[in-house]
Amino acid sequence: MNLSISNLSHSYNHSASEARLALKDIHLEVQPSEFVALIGPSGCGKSTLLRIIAGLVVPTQGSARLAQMNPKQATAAKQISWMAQKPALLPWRTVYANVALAQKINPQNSRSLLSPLELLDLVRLGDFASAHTFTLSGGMQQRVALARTLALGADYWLMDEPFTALDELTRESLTREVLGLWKRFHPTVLWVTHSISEAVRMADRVLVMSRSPGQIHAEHRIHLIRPRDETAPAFQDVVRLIRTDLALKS
Amino acid sequence: MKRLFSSDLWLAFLIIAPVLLSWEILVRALQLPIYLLPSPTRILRTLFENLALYANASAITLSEAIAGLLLGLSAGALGATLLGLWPRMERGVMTLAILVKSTPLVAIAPLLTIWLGFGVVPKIIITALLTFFPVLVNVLSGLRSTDVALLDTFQSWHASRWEVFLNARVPSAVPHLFAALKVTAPLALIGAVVAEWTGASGGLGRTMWLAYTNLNLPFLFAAVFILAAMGVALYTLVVIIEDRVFFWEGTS
Repeated sequence: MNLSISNLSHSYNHSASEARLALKDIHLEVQPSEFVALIGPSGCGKSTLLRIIAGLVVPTQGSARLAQMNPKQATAAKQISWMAQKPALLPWRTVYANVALAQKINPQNSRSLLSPLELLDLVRLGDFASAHTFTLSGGMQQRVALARTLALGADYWLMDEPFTALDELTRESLTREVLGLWKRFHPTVLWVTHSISEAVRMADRVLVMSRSPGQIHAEHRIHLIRPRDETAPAFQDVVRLIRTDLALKS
Repeated sequence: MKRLFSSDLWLAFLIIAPVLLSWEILVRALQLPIYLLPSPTRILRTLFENLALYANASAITLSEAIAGLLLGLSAGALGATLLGLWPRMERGVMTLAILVKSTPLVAIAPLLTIWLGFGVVPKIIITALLTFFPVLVNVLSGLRSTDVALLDTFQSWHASRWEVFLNARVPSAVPHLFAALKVTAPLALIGAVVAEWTGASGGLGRTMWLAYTNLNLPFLFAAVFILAAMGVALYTLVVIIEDRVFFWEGTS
């Protein structure tokens, strides 16, 4: 069930003559149920890497394997839950219908899944099942998206700065909820973020990426026990280490 | 919404009333002959004196316009659906559509009358020809305006093209469909009237043509007033339906 990437490179063709190398020689092994955060400056290709793993972008060289499957096969088996900065909900459907749709499309009948109502209870939106999504706050909309992420029962959660557009407090409580859900469902999580402290607070391992071309240039295993205290000296030490890494390469 | 609507009506009244009043005063002061410009009161009197005739003619024209509009709407939506599902057909279908669109209707209308007679069928066809193109273009651009984040999500579920189309693209095109309807609903009336003008056994266009050949201007203007009112009514109907169907307006 591990995720492995070997020798992966990707370049964008802006024109026939000029190709920009976005990712270069990425090697990555992620253990089952591991929580890995990807951090790096804007334009370092961390989102592109995540999109490649999700099968949304086909790399120009190399490949990603998710438990012996390529990304396309993994999405066909509905093993990938994708979540991005925009909640990407359907405003013409109710909260319930938004979550239910994730199970109705390409259904995996052999898998036992939580019902949409159970999922909404998990993200504390049980009372809002029949509401329309546009009546909810940004934080609540992302919780609907989170319930929809869980709805697949997927082994891999690929999350591209999911809470960046939210205010600090909402963001903290949502990241705590994600950690709780991760402990309960133990998926493999790849978490792209801009925030060092968020990465250190959540992940088992933080990968630091550098820009042009995008490479993984450092990695830090976080041994602190959860829940992690941001004010603890040990926490601050790790944050400082990563900050130094980022300063060096950006 | 209701308050806005009634204030709209007031605004329209405030603009139209002075225009009609000046018109009335002008006609009386200059003693304009009735075959050049009849006064609004004279036009309205003609209208109410011939109410049954106008009601009958309006019913014919309105049903032709609505039938043609629905036909054009279906054809446009069907074309947009085909192009939305199979983008490679675009060049062929669009060439055909533009060909139809740029053929002058005043040239086709008499032909259809010759072939199909004085009944309602040629009017419906003309109206459909006139209305399908804005629907096709708008709905197609709506189908393609679907939020990229939404498409990513569907792709991550391995949704089929059809599932994406039905669940994401079609609802995204709803506002565009209504934009097209706001243009084509009043246009449909023009289509029906122009088609009737080239030969019809009934309808407002026919009434107007008769009035015109007899230089009976109060009669002609009364028909114009009715047409204007029906145009506003059709437009308002579209807005009311839009409010119900496109309830998530301004949310994403």
